[in-house]
Amino acid sequence: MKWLESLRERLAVLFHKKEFESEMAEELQFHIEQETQRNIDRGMHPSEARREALHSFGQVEKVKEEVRDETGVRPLEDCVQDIRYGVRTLRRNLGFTVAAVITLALGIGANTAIFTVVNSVLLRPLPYRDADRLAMVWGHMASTDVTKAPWSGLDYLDFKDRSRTFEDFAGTFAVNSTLSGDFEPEPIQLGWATPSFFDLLGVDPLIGRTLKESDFQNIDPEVFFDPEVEVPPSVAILSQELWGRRFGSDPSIIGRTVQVNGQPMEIIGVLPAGFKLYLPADASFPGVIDVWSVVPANLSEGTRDQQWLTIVGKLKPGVTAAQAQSEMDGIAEQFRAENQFHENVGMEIDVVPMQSDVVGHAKPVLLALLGAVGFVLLIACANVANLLLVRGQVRQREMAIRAALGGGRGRILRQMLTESAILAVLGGGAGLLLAFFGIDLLLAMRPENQPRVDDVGIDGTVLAFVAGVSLLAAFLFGTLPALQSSRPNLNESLRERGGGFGLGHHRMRNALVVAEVALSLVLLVGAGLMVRTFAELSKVKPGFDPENVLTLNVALPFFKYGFEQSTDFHLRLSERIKALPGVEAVGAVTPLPLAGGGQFWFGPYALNEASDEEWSKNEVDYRPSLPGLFEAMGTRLLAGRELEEADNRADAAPVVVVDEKLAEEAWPGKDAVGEQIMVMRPNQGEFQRYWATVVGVVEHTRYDDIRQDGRGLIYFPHKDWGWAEQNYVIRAGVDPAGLAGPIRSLIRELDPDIPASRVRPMAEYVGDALASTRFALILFTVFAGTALFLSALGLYGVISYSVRQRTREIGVRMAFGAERQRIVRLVLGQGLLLTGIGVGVGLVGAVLLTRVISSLLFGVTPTDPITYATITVILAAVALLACYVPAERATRVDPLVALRAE
Amino acid sequence: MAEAKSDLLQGTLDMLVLKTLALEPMHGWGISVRIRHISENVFDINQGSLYPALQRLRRKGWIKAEWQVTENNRRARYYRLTAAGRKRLNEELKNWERASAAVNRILRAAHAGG
Repeated sequence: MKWLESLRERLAVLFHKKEFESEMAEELQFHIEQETQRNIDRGMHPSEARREALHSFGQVEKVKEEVRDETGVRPLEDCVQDIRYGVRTLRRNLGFTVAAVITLALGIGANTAIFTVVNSVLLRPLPYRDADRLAMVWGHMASTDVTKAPWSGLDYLDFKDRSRTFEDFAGTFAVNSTLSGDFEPEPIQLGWATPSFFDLLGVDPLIGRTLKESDFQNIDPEVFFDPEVEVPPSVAILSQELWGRRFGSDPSIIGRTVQVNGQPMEIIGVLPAGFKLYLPADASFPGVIDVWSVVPANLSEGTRDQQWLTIVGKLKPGVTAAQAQSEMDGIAEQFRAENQFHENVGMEIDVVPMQSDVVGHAKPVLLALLGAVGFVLLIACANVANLLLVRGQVRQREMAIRAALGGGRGRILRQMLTESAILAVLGGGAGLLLAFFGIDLLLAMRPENQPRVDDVGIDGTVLAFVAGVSLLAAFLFGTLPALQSSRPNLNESLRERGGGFGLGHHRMRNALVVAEVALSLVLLVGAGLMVRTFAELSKVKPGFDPENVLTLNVALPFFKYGFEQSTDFHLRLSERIKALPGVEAVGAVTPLPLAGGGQFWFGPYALNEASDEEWSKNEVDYRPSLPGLFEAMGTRLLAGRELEEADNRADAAPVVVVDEKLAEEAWPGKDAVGEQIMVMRPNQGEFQRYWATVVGVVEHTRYDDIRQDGRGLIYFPHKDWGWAEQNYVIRAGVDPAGLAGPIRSLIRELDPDIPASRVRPMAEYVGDALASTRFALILFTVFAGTALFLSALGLYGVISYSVRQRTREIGVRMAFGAERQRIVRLVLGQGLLLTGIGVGVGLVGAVLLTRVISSLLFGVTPTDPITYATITVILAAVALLACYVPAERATRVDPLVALRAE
Repeated sequence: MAEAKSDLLQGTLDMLVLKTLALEPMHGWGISVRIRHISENVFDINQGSLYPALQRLRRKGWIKAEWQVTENNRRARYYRLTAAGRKRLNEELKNWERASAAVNRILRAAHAGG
């Protein structure tokens, strides 16, 4: 236990210093006295004896120091002493300390805020068991380039059967539904799931249980659509939020029965708070599911083109996604060989690890922001380094004295680094505080569809990050000044001796400022490009006019309304809404543009009798609609007529309206009105092909992504897709928000069981589409602004200092008759020279680095000359301003005073 | 250069102290006298340098210190070897013997050859 002994020794010394010292003194004293006595015994005179004893002992103080050195606690003691000295020094120069801490706080705080978001969104694993083994299995239809497509029940069964790389699969589908019981019916999101779903994700219920195999019943789908027949009961699992909201978190809820879409369901469990299925935004899966139930249909029935199941798979332990992908490629080949539909659409299978799927879109933005904010930190460190360098010069005298007293270079270096460390700790702490507020701000501004932003918070990883960044910062800004301070001779050479207004010997400081300017330029260019992107995006004509338009969703329970009743209901409701005062036009469409879900409403078309193979080759977007849609949405009619009420009569001739994109594609150069087109519609559980006449052509609308044109569109009269929910589009003379109430009453009058949901002004959807760009834009601008501000400060500092140093020279020049203008120009010249070099380096950097954000840009290239030119001018102007003040001050030098002072 | 010399000296001094204490526990001055006496003043280093060495040996756990009363009723800090210290001493002695035998052979050989 050697080390234990030695540890005890060391601790003893540390904590009982006084005792240690007095004992040591006593021991040495004893030695000297004994030696003296010995000398006396040998015959020396007492005073000589003592002198001799002391002489052969050596210097007592030195011996004491050496003993102290051997205690092994010296480093710690020195450290404590360094810290105390450092704190004292910093307190004495409060102005400097405050400036440095604030600068650091800005840099570290901004980095922490962004990192917190990055950590929560990108780094943290998904809240499922073995989340790294979860992967999404998406369909990819090569013929039409539709990705993230769901599967049919048969496909799901094939996956389970054939895959060797996956342990299990689960499928899910979301349905707008109505929850009723002994309370007011409310609209909910119902999630159908295969029995394996919750086990696959590894989710344990809060109370009760989740699904098991025996919950699955084979229900004939016909039963749902026949209002006469009673639907057999199923099971339901509630979300924790619904349980609290609707049932007051009553634990006796288990076993109670409620109605979902008229089907009785026994509540078997409640899920933990915050449970959700994390899917990418463009998968159109609702963020919140209120009730989960087992899939009601027999999965082996139906056809391959009935794609409705979103499938999650759990890889076997040790299997990589790449291995699973190759296996799935093989299965996809089998699909294409076995099933006509799969061959027609060129079906492929995409295996995507769940985590990267969810955050995929957010990744480039967040990483770009992380890079940008890193630049801000570098600039902040450069500023603090500059401050320290200046202070280092001021402290030359102190350093010289210390060196004279025997403080080795190493000791001084350590002292300086300790001061830097203290600054870094203070800056880090202040930065953490700033980050708290910064994060709240970030969350307030966040776009709606950012993944996983609901649980962003400061956790252990973030704290570790702050500590790490603070240390890094200390190293960055502290090393150079510390090295310089510990070499007093170097300081001498830093004194400006005569010379002109060149860059002088302040090479280090100048280099730092140039670096700051360069970094700022890069950030400013990035911000400028984002501004342009946002401007371009805002100019995009999406094919409709969202001003003064209200939208709301009306979904009719399919167990109550057949096709005909549904069409009838909608037409009557439309009429009534139109009659409301203030309403100019009413229509409806499924789905709404820019609201998501668009890529699921698609179907084939053909211009002549197509064989089965060719039938699925051309895919366009299908849009069931109600008459009045185009007028309400502000989509221009280019030829022919709109769809009318008469088209919805059971005996009406089949008609459609196409958009200009499809018209151009199908009948280039010709008038599409009057042409025949083969489309499909559901008819008694199957898809029926039929001929329809094109009666009108409208302008194209962007449904999925405001940045891209998208596919052509075919608008159907509602009766052909009778079970579709409809999103009403109401255009009013003034702000239509006030119409929400009256419309709800109208709906209730027609059928009290039907709720109106998702009541939103259309402009909000457009806003959401721009939201993520706006978010990136705001942040980039804030960072670039901060960087510019800090750099201006840095430049101001360097030029000011330079002017102060050259006071004598200025005095000489003025004494020799130099005009004030010339002095100003000289100083400005120096400043602009530094700025110029910085801009040059920055431009090169910007060209190289903006490539990184090219995926975020729209309508502007990463090397857009206008942006670059504008930013350069802005930067130059700010730099000029920063230099102007010290230049001005230079002219106020009194030559006589300057010449005398030296 | 000076560093290397004092290192060597350090190691030797450590060994001398341990050897001295192997015979009986002793206070610092006593050790100093004994070393001077036995080495016939060959090692006439600064007496004070004994004390950092003692501290070092204590830190390494090879000796232990205890305040006791001398024959003349004075208080003094007595040192004694620990078990680890004894072991260390034996190891060092073996190393020393091996080293000096080797040096001997080299010198003899050189002498014989030259």
